Parts: sequence; C-alpha cells; structure tokens
Amino acid sequence: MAYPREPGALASEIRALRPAGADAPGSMWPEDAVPVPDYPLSQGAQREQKIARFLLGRAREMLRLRRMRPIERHGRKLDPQMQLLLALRAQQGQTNLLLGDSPAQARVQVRMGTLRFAQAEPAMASVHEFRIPGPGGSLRVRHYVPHAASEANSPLPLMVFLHGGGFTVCDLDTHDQPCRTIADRARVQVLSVDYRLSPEHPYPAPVEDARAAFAWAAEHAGMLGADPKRVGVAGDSAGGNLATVTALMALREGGPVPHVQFLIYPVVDADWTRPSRVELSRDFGLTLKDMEWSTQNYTAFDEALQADPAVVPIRAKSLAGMPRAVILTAGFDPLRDEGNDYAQVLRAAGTDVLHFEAEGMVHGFINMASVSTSARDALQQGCDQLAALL
Amino acid sequence: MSAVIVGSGFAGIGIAIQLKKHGVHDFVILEQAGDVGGVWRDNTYPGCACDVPSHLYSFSFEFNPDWTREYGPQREIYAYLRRCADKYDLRQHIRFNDRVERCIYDERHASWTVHTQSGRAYSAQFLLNGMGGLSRPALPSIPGLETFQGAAFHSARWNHDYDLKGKRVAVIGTGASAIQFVPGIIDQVAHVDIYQRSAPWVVPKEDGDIPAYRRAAFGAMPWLQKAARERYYWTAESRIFAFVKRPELLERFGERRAREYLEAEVQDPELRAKITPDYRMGCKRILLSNDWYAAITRDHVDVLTSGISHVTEGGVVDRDGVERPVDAIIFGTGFEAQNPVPAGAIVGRDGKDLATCWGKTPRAYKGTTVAGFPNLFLLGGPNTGIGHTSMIYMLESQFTYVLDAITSMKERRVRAIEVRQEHQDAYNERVQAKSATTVWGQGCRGWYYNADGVNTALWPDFTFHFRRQLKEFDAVAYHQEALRPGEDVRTLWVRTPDGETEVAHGLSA
Ligand SMILES: Cc1cc2nc3c(=O)[nH]c(=O)nc-3n(C[C@H](O)[C@H](O)[C@H](O)COP(=O)(O)OP(=O)(O)OC[C@H]3O[C@@H](n4cnc5c(N)ncnc54)[C@H](O)[C@@H]3O)c2cc1C
Repeated sequence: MAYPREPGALASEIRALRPAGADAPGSMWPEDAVPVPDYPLSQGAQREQKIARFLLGRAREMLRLRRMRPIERHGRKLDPQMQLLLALRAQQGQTNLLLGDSPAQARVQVRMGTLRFAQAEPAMASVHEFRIPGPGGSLRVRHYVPHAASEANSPLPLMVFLHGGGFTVCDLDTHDQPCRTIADRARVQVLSVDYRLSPEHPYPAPVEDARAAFAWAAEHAGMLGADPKRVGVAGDSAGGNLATVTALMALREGGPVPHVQFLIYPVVDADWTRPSRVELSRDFGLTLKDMEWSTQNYTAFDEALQADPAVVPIRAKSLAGMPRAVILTAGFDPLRDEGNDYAQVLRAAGTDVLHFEAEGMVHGFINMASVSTSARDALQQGCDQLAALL
Repeated sequence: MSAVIVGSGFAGIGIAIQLKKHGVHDFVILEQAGDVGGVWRDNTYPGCACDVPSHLYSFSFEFNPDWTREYGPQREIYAYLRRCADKYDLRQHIRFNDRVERCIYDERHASWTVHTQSGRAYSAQFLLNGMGGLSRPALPSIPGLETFQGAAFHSARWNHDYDLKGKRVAVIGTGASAIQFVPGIIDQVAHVDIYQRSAPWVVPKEDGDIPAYRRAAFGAMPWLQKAARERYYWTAESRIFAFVKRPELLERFGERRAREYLEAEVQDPELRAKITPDYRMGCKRILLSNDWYAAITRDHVDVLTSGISHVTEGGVVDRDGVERPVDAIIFGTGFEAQNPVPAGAIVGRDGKDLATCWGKTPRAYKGTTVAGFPNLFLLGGPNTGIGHTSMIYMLESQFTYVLDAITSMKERRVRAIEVRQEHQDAYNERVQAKSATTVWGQGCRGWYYNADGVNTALWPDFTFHFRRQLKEFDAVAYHQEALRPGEDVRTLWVRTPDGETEVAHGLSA
C-alpha cells in the first residue's frame, strides 16, 4: 500500500521521535517515513514457538527419543537443533525450502512459515519505512536504528541489506528479525530493501534495485544519521549474491564502493557439480529443486548469464579491489563450497576476508534464530566478525 | 476507532452490538429502509419462516427463550431483531431511509467516505458492509410484463393490500420463498399456475410449536437453551458431512428419503415426473416443507414446466403457446445473489470499483477483506454462504475477526490494513480446490455459482473450519500502515447537504 505523503508535515514529528544518538546534526528521515508496526504473533504461533523452543532446547534427548542418530558428513556434525527442525519440517511434509505451486503461492507459504517462527526482536530505537527512487519505480526500504546509536559517540555505519529467497520469495517482514539482530549485535544501522522479485522481474531488475538502493544509501547516510564513510552491503543467499554483485559493479563502473560486504551463505556460482551442491541438496532444507526453480526464475538458465560475473561473481576475471568481506557459510548447505571458495578467491585477490563456517548449520538458519539458540549464536558470531571489521 | 456500518439486518445489528460491547461507540448505521431487520423486515409473504431452527438462527450473545416454533416465523424473527436494536440502544446510531450510494476510500486519511442519497457524507476509519446478499429481488425479464393489467409483485415486496381471495394467480419460480407462500395462499385463491424451471429437492421439516413450559424453562435456565443450540448446531453440521466428504451418500440416503417422501405425498405419476429433481441433491438449497406437496397436489393447482414465452394483458403464455388467464402474478424468483455489491457502491484505493474488480467472480480473503480495499470488512462476503445451517454462525465468526482486527490495530497504532493479493489468491485457490471435491464441485448450477460455474457464494466445508480461521486476526496476511507520530485515527464525522459538518463522535453519550 502506498504511503500518503504530506510534504513537510512529518519532519518535525519525526525529529521528536528520533533517538538521541541518531540525532546528529542534519540527520532526518525522508518526509514520507512512517514507523513500522510489528506483526503480532497469533496465539497459535506463540504456542508453536514455545513448543519449538522447548523441543529444540532438548534437541539431543528428542533425537534420542526418536531414535535418530547424529549426522556427520566429511567430519562436520549436524547441529542437533537443526536436525530436529529438519525432522519436524519433514513430518509436516515440507521437503523444499522455497518451492511452491506458483511464485505467488510460494511467497505466501514461505512468508507464513517464516513469520510463524519470528519475533520483532531485538528491540530497536526505531524502525521506519519509506520509499527511495528506483529504476523500476520507487523502492520500499526499511530503516533500523539500534539502541546502540544513542550510546555511541560517533555515527554508526550503515548496512544496506538484501534479503534472500531465491530471487523469488521473501520480503522485508520475513527478514525483519535478522536485520534487527545485525543492527543490534554489529552496532550498525540497517537499510533493508524491498527489491523487485523474479520471475516477474528477472535479472537484471533485482541487481539494478540493489545498486540503486546502495547508491542512495551512500549519498544519504548522513541524513539518516549514519556514517557516510562506512556504508556497506549485506545479504543472505540470493541477497548475498546481490550484495557482492553490487560491490563488484560499483568497482567496475565507478561510483561509491561499499565499505564492507557481509555475505551470509551467498549464491556466487552456477557450478552444479560442487560437492556440497551434489551431496547436500536433499534432506537439509534447501534442495536441488529449490535451486533449479530459483535459477529458472532469475535467469531462465540463460547460458551467457551463467558465466556472467553479474550473476556468478566468483567467475569474475578479477576481483581485485573488492571491499573487505565477512563471509558466513553453513556446513550443511548446498551453497557451502562456493561460499568457502569465494572467501579464498577474494583473499587471493587481496581483499581482507573474515570467513566463518558455522559447521552444524543449514541454509536459512538466520531465519530460525527465534527458536534455535544455536542458529542465533551462529548469526551473532557472524555479526561480531562484522563489528570487528567495520 | 470509528466505523460506518451499511445495513441493519443480522449483519449490521450484530456487528454494532459487538462494537458497543467492546467499547466502540463512534459508529453510524445507514439503512435504506425505515426499520431494522433486513430480509426479515422485507419478506412478509404468508408462511415466511426460517429453515434453520430458531434457537440456532439467532445471536449466540442474545438468546431468545420465547420462540414459539422450532422454525420461527418471520414475524418473530423481525421482532427479535427490533428488540436487539432497542436493547443495545442502536436506534440512535441508525440513520433510516437513507440509501448508501457510494463509499470511497480516502488514502490520505485512511478512512472511508460514504455518500448517501440524501446528499450526506459520512466519514470514518472503517467501512463495515452488511448490505446483505439477498436484499435485491431478482425479476426475470419477461416480454409483455409491462402490459399486464393485473397485480404483479415479488415475494419480498408482498402486496398486502391486494386481496387474493378467489383470484387466479400465476406463481413464477419454485424456490425457497414460493415453497413457503404457495401453501400460505392456497386456501384463498381460485386457481394457481406454478411455473417451475427446475424442481427442488424437498424434505419434511421437523417443525412444531415449542410448548410454553419449555419456553419458560429456557427463560429460567439459559444453559438449557445453550445446550439446545449446541445440539441443533451439531445436528445441522453432521448433515454437511455428506456434502463435503461423501457426495455419493447424498444419492444413497438423502435422495432416496426425499423420493420416498415425494412418492408418499404425490400419487399422480405425471405430476411426480414433473416435480422430481433432475440434479444431484445438495447442488441447490434443499428445501424444507411439510405442506408444499400437499398444496401442489390440490385440484386448483397446475404445475407448468414448459417455460414462459410472454405475458399478455390478462394472462401468461407458455412456450407451447397456451395462454392461461390470471388476475395476479407473484414472483418467487429469489434474489440477485451474484452481485453482492452494486457497481459503483464501493470504491477502494486508486479509484478501483469493487463490483468491477470482481466482475462475475467475487473474491475476498476469508470472505471478509479484499485486496485494494483497505479498512473494508464485508459481512457475509464471497464464499460465506451456507445452505445447511445458520448464516448467523458465519456472521458471528466474522464479527470476532473484525473486532480482533480493529483492536489489534488500535493497540499497535496501525491506521490501515489491506490484505495482500497473494494471500487472498492462495486462500481462494484453497477454497476452490475444496469446493471441487464436494457435491458443489460436481457440475451443479444455481445461485451458488457464477456464470462460469465457479462457486462464489458457498462455504464448501464444515462451518467450524471457517470459524477457526477467523478466530484471530492474522496481520501477517496484510499490509499495515502505521499512524504517524502524533496522528490520530479518523473519528466519525458527517457533512450535510448544506455544507455543515457535524462531528458525530460520541453518539451514545
Ligand atoms: C426469505 C429468506 C429466508 C431466509 N432464511 C434463512 C434461514 O432460514 N437460515 C439462514 O441461515 N439464512 C436464511 N436466509 C438468508 C439471510 O439472508 C441471512 O440469514 C441473513 O438474514 C442476512 O443478513 P444480512 O444482515 O447480511 O442481510 P439483510 O438481512 O439482507 O440486510 C441487509 C440490510 O441492508 C440494507 N441495505 C442494502 N443495501 C443498502 C444500501 N445501499 N444503503 C443502505 N442500506 C442498504 C437493506 O435494506 C437491509 O436492511 C434467508 C433469506 C431470505 C431472503
């Protein structure tokens, strides 16, 4: 729903709302900014979360009760909480992570499924939404300011966040909690972008939107009360791809380059023979079908695109000059190997890289943080590394 | 919070009572007629009664121990609704005799502006539509009707000034209304021609007087009445089992019973053949009656099935060219059910007209909200109709949802909600998929369906499934728009034709 604009009417009201730390001189939200209401959890969902937290808190015992053995692959141990979550999902007949009868159906399913297991936490000093100019019409963005902003004596960095979901599903709401966690834990502002989704808007639309959002953020960070010199990109899965591609394109085509990139289990390759893509694309959440479907939606398997660095950044002839990176991968994720490799390749190209593989995690774990403590810990570790690099 | 409610039938009165119970007094009810009651005010034809036991066909929050019959007559239901309106002091909220012409969503203020025939404009945060699906009589266009010199009226606009005594009457239609009023007039008239398009399935009605001692017991012990209501509910709901789960059972048991009843009541083989339905039972509303067959087997009744060609000054000519002289024509042709909202009546975001958006296929989310129409709630919207149990059960499920929505919006400072298109679509795909496995998915036609045979009216499942889905407002399926800092939601205001603005806030004070 488009927000009504009443030019000028909001500036003063918003200033009154602004947290002290964000109140640096000149800082202000755009005029059409509105606070974002939380989504209340239904009683059913609250109950489910409680049960899930209870079960996952005793994951080892539960697995033993179900006579499920610990799973090990190539020396990596699947986290018991992940194993139990996967078992519970399988029990409900959910064998794919994203796939649906149609993109619209899939969006509904994934949204409902994700929000049932999410919470509007950690609390923020403010969460606002507004629109910024985009190449295909205005883009909705959500701006998070953590409480840390009021304690800090200098403006916080700003991370432009691009959500995952195979370029096809998910939205600002599904990744609300991860954004809050990043803002809170890494002590950054986050600007989450509602970029256009495929297949209605295939490549390059999502990349164009991501780039436009970053360019806008780089220019307006000061207005948002953030540090204009430290504007980075972040994203998970498909969003990780958009984040690093944004950096790559900025590097190639001029204009501001992100200060840092935070890539969470990113898609960076189109090589279907990588061991993790072969061995882990069943039974661990993200499946081969999910990946094929996403690729179909995004590039329709166009051959030229499968080799284009704007789609598969790891294939770039040169990655020299790429901004420093934090790369967080998961041990039981089909995208593990390309993520790990990407860390190496970037390092080889001279980039500072902090790489951390969350050994026992599966793809999508950052969306499980409200019920799984191990998922939360893994995300927090990634955020800590980001904080260290900033 | 403020609201404009359209209509004062069960839907409008019910939601108004609930609003008041939840401390919301800032609302107005707009009613085109001169009194509350909806269909129960309009349908005054002889024999009009509900076909769901009255103890079930009434509000769960407003028991009436005084129903005199199992299936209460129209007079009592009408009186009941009037009593409800009085008890909760609703009349001061109602503006009678003012027809709603156009409701327009104002995005800037997140509110609805409702223009009425008298030139007034009411504005409030929410629009609660209780116009009713069966309030506009459907009149078939029959050539020559305008030349007819006798009396002609629709069952829902019964002409009580017209004395039917000794008259020759043509009855058009054999639906739920005709089957009630034909037995009601049969003793007065000289002759009746019944023009039947398709024969209804008719089963006996377990009707009867409720004796005074039972009424007294209900009055003294509301729990007893509650228990009776539960029993009626589950009896009705158990009937739906076959419709939903095992359509073939309807053939084996339902149809056989109905056929046995017909054969017991009607001896003449020619008439039997004419009035034996040719479609699967349950496809259309199953009618309840103990006196329909008795009435149509009378000597002064003819059942005609060849269809109507045209009407002359003094009679009706059938498709075989036979003219039958009559003094009066009564239409038992039902209602325009396929167009629950007239064109131009509800205009949402970006100037979109609800009736136009819907076209032949009305669609909503949970029968209640519609993408593109923020802050609008339909009471008795698409796919909330039922044939086997009380409509009020469905309406009350919606009341719960609406109340939860507006309370939750208030708590979280949300000024507008709008269902997400994908969620609405996914919901409707589920409803249609469900529909396909029921008796209603087996190629039936009737008012339950639109021109393409899509079920747009009926809820194709157990009603408790509907209730469960509407138990809580599911904000995740919605776009939400927050109030800006310092902003407050729209209160109710009215602009009169002289340009004056009266703030109607605190109507109850
Ligand atoms: C003869 C008959 C028998 C029925 N029997 C049963 C039964 O036994 N069991 C059952 O479950 N259901 C039955 N129904 C279905 C019945 O429609 C519902 O049960 C229920 O009464 C619907 O209530 P409502 O308030 O939604 O609509 P209505 O009762 O139709 O009320 C709508 C009100 O809105 C007003 N209105 C409409 N348009 C406007 C406008 N533009 N401006 C202002 N006011 C407007 C109308 O005047 C009316 O008062 C029957 C229907 C009929 C016609």
